[in-house]
Amino acid sequence: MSGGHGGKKPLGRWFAELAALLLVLGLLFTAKRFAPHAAGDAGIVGAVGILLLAGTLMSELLSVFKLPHLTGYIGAGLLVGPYVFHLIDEETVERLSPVNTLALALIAFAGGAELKIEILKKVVRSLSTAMVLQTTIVFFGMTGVFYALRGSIGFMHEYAPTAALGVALLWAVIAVSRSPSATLGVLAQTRAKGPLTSFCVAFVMASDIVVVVLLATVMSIARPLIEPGGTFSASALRVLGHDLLGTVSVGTSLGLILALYLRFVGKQLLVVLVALGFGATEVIHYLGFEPLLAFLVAGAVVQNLSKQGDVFLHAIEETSGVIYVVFFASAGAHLKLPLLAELWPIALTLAGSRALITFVTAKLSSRVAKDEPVIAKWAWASLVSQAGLTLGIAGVIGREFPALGPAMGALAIATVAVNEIVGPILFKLALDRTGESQSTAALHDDEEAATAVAGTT
Amino acid sequence: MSSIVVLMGLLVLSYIGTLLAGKNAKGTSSGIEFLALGVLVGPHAFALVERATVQQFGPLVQTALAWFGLVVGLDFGRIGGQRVPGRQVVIGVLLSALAGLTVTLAVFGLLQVVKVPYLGASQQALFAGGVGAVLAETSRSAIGWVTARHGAKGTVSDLLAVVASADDLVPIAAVGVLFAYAPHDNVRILLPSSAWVGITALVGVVIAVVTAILLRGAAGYQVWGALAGTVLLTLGCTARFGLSPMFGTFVLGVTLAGLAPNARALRRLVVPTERPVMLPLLLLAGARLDMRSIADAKIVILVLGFAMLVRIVAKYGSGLLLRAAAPTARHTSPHLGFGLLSAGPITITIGLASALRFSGLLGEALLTLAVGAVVVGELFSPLALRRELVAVGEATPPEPAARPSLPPPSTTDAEQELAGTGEHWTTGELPARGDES
Repeated sequence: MSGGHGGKKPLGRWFAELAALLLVLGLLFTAKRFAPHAAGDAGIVGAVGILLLAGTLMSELLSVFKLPHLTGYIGAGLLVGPYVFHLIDEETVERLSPVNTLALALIAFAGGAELKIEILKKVVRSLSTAMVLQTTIVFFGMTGVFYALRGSIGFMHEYAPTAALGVALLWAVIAVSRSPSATLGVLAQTRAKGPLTSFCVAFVMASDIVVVVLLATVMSIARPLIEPGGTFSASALRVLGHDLLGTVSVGTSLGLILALYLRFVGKQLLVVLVALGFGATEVIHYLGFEPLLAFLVAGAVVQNLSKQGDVFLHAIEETSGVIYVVFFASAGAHLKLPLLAELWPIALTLAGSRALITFVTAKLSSRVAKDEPVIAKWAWASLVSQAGLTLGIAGVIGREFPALGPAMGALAIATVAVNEIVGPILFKLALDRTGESQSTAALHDDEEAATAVAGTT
Repeated sequence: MSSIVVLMGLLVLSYIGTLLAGKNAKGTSSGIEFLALGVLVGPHAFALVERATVQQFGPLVQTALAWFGLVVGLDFGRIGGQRVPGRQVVIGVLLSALAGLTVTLAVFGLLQVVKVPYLGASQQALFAGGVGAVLAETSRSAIGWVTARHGAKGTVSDLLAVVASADDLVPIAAVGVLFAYAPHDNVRILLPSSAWVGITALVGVVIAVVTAILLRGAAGYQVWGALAGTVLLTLGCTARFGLSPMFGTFVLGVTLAGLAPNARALRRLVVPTERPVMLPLLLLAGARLDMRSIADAKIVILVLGFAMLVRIVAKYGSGLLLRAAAPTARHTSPHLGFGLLSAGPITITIGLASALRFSGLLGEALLTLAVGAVVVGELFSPLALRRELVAVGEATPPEPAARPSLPPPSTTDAEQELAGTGEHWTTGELPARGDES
């Protein structure tokens, strides 16, 4: 393996990796052919194995084209998933959800730990301007686009103009969301550092919180528009305020406990992170709070209120590497290709419009905030990705508006599929072009890494 | 108890396991206390963990078993990372095979005389083979525990460590053969059992090649990713046919030890994970223990008891053979075989793998037998082994009876006093049972 940074790779090595990929695919294909129904737990365990191996190998193969590893993971998932080679069926993909729980927890921890106050201070002007403009313009822009396109969207035909406006508002919330996982996934590979990286991390993580608040607000507004008997209720906002406060309190407490553990024990962080990923998620859910936000706060507390931030980030990097592969590969396997084949024109239009509005808004925002050139030129590229968080929001909307759920969910999946594939490529391109990506340095690292496994002991 | 709480418990055990890694003299020689804890929290005692919850952890147990196979395979033929003499490895393998075979033949013979109602004709051979596989091992962890606790050093200690380490091959390969004997019904291809054994090994070899490619230049999490992925894929491929994942990953480990670019570093990385994986596995094995079907067929209890007696005889015979075959063991007493009675992680994993693979009486009987073997081994083996090592002058003799002239010391004083005797006991490493006399 290249050590995670891409770069030049000897041809022989590339072919060896291709042969290895074909070997593992061939092995599972043969196994599935002669024993079509996996007995017991063989199916799910084998699925994790093939996602991990195929994802790793595919990312290595694609790295010569300077594509992000994420693209390789997602591509591998697509390949082995239910719609191409069918090495993993849909039911098995669904059963992988515990991996997602752990991955999202680690992503949130890492996201919080990346929020360093001294860096935030440096980009506060850019950040606040971009946050206000991106949220407002993308929100209203996408409301307009969706409303204008309603004639081309099958399930929208049955809605009167007012109701259609309500649905468009909900869609706009989906459009405003970004992908912390894709952002951190690309950063984990490139180990990028610099003003663009700081800005992007801060923006994407902070926009998480904005989206949660926006979702609750818009659902309150959209309900009377979509449902004839529905009324506007401010109580949802009050509940949201209570939940946010509770979540921040829990996250702060968790962060302080973690900081103490890191300071006085500091051992076996892998086990501790896995325990937190599953156990704390369950407890926070039970308390009725938002686990991801709590972990985000906890990560930020460890980073900014203790001296353990770097140790914590390093531990997460070590733990999350494997989890990310399975997470994104299973996301690839999750992509419903038939749905994409059916909805691609409208999905592409919506994704394209969102990207265009994001691009224009980024330029405007940089002009207003007088951003340094690197941010002015490339900040938009990190804001295109969408993944699990967006699908989560679509899921919440589906639950709150059952009549809307399946159709809107399908469209969201199709649109996210486009952004999930294109977004990380754009972001990595930006990091490479600005020189913040450490790919070049990694070539030297790779030479050292070739002494290999020893470095891990 | 919810599955999340159980998972947290398992993670705590794993955490304890990481702290205990490399400390051979801690706890009991076989880790039986974790097994007992599993029985206590399981459905038979306090029922804190329900049967359905235990079942939910099936994928985790399978993964742990497969990982264990990899660890044993990677370190096979080595002690402390050093390659051991081939002759001693062969002796260890042969002695274990002999013990397993003796038990298998004896049980198979008994089953021809005593009819067990719930075992069909085809299952009798499977059952006898399973019993042989479960009872073949002499636990290397127990030998390590005794030598570490009593500060034993010398050629006999080394020989026993090698023999106990090498004999891991036999039960793991035996379970590979047994699983191949009865592939799943859903398999669309008819092959002889020997071909299925070959396929299990081939899967291990092919995946080892892939792993070696992946490990070239890998560092940090990439190493873990490559290993986890290959172990899981081996497990997925073999279990799909009903073959033994543990045998597959064992072959994977052995092959990888030869192919990997930096096998030594790989071993240093992977071998310490044995304990963190083992402790949760022992707990789950204890919680999974289900003797209802055996209680319905009491004749099985007799057969298992008979098998245990045959094992004692076979291990005693192994001791005699070892004295004859290895010059370094000639100074030991003829009762050396009692010291080889220990059973530990391999026995339990074989029993657990069998219980997962063969539902009903067959699987449950094998797991019960494994637990029984561990209990018997724990009772007899450490004492017998210590006696042998003391007799050949490789271990410190037990302390003489408490000195009456001294006032009864407090616990802390006693520990300090023991430390003052020149024996390298620390506060946390109290003497073994029997030493207190």
